[in-house]
Amino acid sequence: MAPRLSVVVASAGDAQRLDEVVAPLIDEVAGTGGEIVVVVFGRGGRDLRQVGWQPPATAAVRVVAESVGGINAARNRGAREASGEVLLFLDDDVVPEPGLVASHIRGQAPNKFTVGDRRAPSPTRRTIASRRDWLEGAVAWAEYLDHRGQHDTPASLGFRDVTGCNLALSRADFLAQGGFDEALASGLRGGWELGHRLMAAGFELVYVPVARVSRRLGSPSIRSLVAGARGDGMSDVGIARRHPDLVRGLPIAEPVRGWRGRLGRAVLRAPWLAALANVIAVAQLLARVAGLSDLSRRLRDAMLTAAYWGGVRAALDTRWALQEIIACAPAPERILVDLEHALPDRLPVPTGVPAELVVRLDGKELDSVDLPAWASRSRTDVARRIVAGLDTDALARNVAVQRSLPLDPGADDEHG
Amino acid sequence: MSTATLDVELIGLDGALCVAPHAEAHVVLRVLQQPVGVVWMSPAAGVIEPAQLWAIIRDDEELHRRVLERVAFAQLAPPEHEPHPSATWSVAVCTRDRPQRLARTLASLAELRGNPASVVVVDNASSTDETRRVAARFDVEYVEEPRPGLNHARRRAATSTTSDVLVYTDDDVLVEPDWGINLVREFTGPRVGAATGLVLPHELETAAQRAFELRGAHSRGFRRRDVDFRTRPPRLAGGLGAGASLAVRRELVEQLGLFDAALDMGSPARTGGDTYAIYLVMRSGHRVVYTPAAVASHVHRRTMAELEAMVANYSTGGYTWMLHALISCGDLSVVKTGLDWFRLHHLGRNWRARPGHPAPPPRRVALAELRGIPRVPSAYLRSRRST
Repeated sequence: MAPRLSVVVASAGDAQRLDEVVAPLIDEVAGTGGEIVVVVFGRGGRDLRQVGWQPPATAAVRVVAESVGGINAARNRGAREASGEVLLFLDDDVVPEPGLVASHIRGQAPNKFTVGDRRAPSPTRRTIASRRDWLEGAVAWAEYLDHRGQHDTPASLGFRDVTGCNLALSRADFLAQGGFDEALASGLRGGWELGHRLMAAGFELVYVPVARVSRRLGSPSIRSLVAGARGDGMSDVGIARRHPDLVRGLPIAEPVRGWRGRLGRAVLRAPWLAALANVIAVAQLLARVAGLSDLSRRLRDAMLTAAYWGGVRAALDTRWALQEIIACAPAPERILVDLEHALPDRLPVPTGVPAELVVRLDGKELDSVDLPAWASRSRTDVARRIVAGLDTDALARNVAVQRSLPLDPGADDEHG
Repeated sequence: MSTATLDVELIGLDGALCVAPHAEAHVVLRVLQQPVGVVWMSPAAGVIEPAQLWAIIRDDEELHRRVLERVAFAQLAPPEHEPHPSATWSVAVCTRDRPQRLARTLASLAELRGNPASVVVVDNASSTDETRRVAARFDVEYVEEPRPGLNHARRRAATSTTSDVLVYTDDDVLVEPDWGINLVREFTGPRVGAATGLVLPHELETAAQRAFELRGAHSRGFRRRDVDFRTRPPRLAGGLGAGASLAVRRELVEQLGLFDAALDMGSPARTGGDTYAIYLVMRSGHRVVYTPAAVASHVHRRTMAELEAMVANYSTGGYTWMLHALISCGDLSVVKTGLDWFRLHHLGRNWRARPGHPAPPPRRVALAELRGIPRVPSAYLRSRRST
C-alpha cells in the first residue's frame, strides 16, 4: 500500500500564487488520501486575514500561520503539522504538473529521498517581452540543473542538486535529521544544506524527472533579483560555518577568474562596493531599453556578482575571516587530454568540480581549456569544448600528426 | 544548364572527379561522413583534381578550420562510441496528393538507423486513395487528417504517437540513414526543445533548382549551433532550420501551441508555420540546436513557374508569422526582423537583379518574392478568421 503523503506549501501569503499551486494538487492529493498543509509566513503569517486567500472547501487543505520565522521555519512547521508518512515540500512560486504526487510516492524507499524537476515556465503570449530578466534567471537555473537529467552523470549528483522545493522524503526521517536549517540568514539554500545532512547520514538522492513543477512566471523586479543573489551569498556563509567540509563545493570557493573574480574580491575588501549592484542595475536597465542586449546581459551578470559578494561580506564576522574563504578556493583539477586519442567514457572529475583540461599532442602541451564546475561531462560535449578552444594552427598540427588519415596532402608540407 | 551534385569524402580522396557533361558542380565536402562545407566549381575539361579542392579549402579560412575541427573532434569523440539517445522518437511525414514523391521519401526513411518507434504518415485531405496505397507498401503508421493544412497535419502527428521526440520531414525530402538519430542525440537535457538539420539539394538539373539553391534554399550552414533566447533573439528563428528537417520535444506541441493552424501550407499564409514553431520554442526558454550532422536532401521545384510561386509564398508566410508574433505575443522585436528582411533580402535581391550586376539572381524570381508581400494583411486576417 502506498504511503500517505502530505504536501507542505510554504508561502509568503500571495493569494493568487496560492491558488496556482494548490488548485492543481487537490484532486491528486485527495485521490491518494493525502493532505495539503499551507504554511503562511512573514507578514501574512502574523495575520492570516491580510492574505485574503480563500482555501478550497475541502478537508484535504489546511492553512497554518507561522508568525516568527522565515521560509525554512515555515517548512519545518508544516512538517510538524502534517500527518502523512511522506512529506512533499513546495513553494508558492511553482505550478505543479499532473502526476507530481504519484511520481514522488513511486520514488520513495527506505534511506532514499526524491527530488523532482523544476522547469522554466512555458509562456506563449505577451509575457516574455516584459519579463525577460526574470526568465533569464529561471532558465539559468534550469540549465544549471540540466545535468541531473543526463544519462551519463547520474552518479555525480550532489548536495547542490537538492532543492527545498519539489523535495519529498519520509516525515520520520525529516524530523530525525532536524528539518531545514532555520538559522540560514536569508532562508535560501535550505535544500542544499538539508541535502548535505541527508547524504552524510547515508540517504540516497533519487532524481525523478517526471515529478515536475513549472516555475511560475514571476515579477521582473530587479530588486528581487539583487536580493536573491545577496541572500545566496549570506546563506553560503551560513552553510560554510555549519559545515566547513562543504566549503570546496560552494560558489564562494569557486575559482572566479577575469572580471567576475576582480569584482568579487573588490567587494569583499570594500563592502561599500556592494552598493555597485544598484548602480549597475540602473545601467543594465538603460542598456536593455536601448536594445543593447549583449551589454545588458553583461551588466546583469556584474550586478548579480556584486550583490552575491555583498551578501557574503555582510554575513562575515570575526570568526570567519575573509582570507579563510579565499584560501579555501581549490585549484581546478588538471586533466591531461591527448588529442590523438579518444576521451575516456567518463572524465575523472565529477560534475560540481572545476577542471582544467591540458591538451597534448605528440607528447607536447598544446593548450589548456577550462571546464567549469557544472559543465556537461559527456564525451561529446567535452570534445566540442576542447576543439572550439584550440586555435587553427593547433588543429592543423593535429591533422599533420595523424598520419594514418590521408587528409590534405599539402598539410604535411606546411606543418610537418 | 544543369549542375552536377557531388558528395566528396575528403579522407582518402586521391583520384580525380569527373563531372562531365556538366560544366558546373555543386560539391558537398565531407570529413568522416559529416558535411563540412560546399563549393561551387566550374572545372576545366569537366574534371576536378583533389589538389584543386584542397586549394579552395586552404584559401577559405572558415572552411579550412571546419575540416580540421572535424578531424580533431572525431578523434576525441569517435562516432561509434556515441551513446544511444535516451529519448524515444518517431518520424512524421505530412503529405497531400503527392504519392510518387512520398514513396521516395518513405524508401529513404526505411533505411533509418537508431530504431525509431514509428514512422507516421499523415495524409492531409488527399483527393485520392493513392497516398494510402503508397503508405501500405512500407512499414509505417498511416493516419488521416481531414482538415486541409500542413500544421493541422503536424499537430495530428503529435497526437498519434507517445514518443518523447517527434522528427518532422516533408514528402519532397530524402534522408540519410543517420539523419533521425543525429537529430535526437541533440536532446541531451530537458531544456533542448527542438533540433534542426542540414538540408542539401537532391539534384540541380534545372535552372529553377539552381536558382533556388543559389538563393540559399534550406541550408543553414555547416557549423553546429546551440542557442536559446539569451544567445540568439527568437525573432531570428528562421535562420535555424525548416520543417523539412525539424525535431521537437513532443509535449511542447501541446504546451506551447506549436504549429498554429493559421500558418503554413493550406492556410492563407501558405508558409511560416515551422519558423513560428521554432520561434515559440525559443521564446519559452528552451534551447534549439542546429546540427549539420543530420543530413537530408530536398527535391527543389523543377520549373521557374513553380519556383516563383514558392518564393512568393515564402514572402507571404514569412511576414505573416512575424505579424502573428507581433499581435499575438506583443513582440515588437519582429518589426526589426521584418524591416531587415525587406531591406536586405527583398530590396537587395531586386537591386542585384538589375542588368549589369556581375552575378544577378533571376529577375523574375526576385520580383516574385516582392509579389508575395502585398498579400500579407489579407493572409493574416483570413488565417485568423479561419481558425
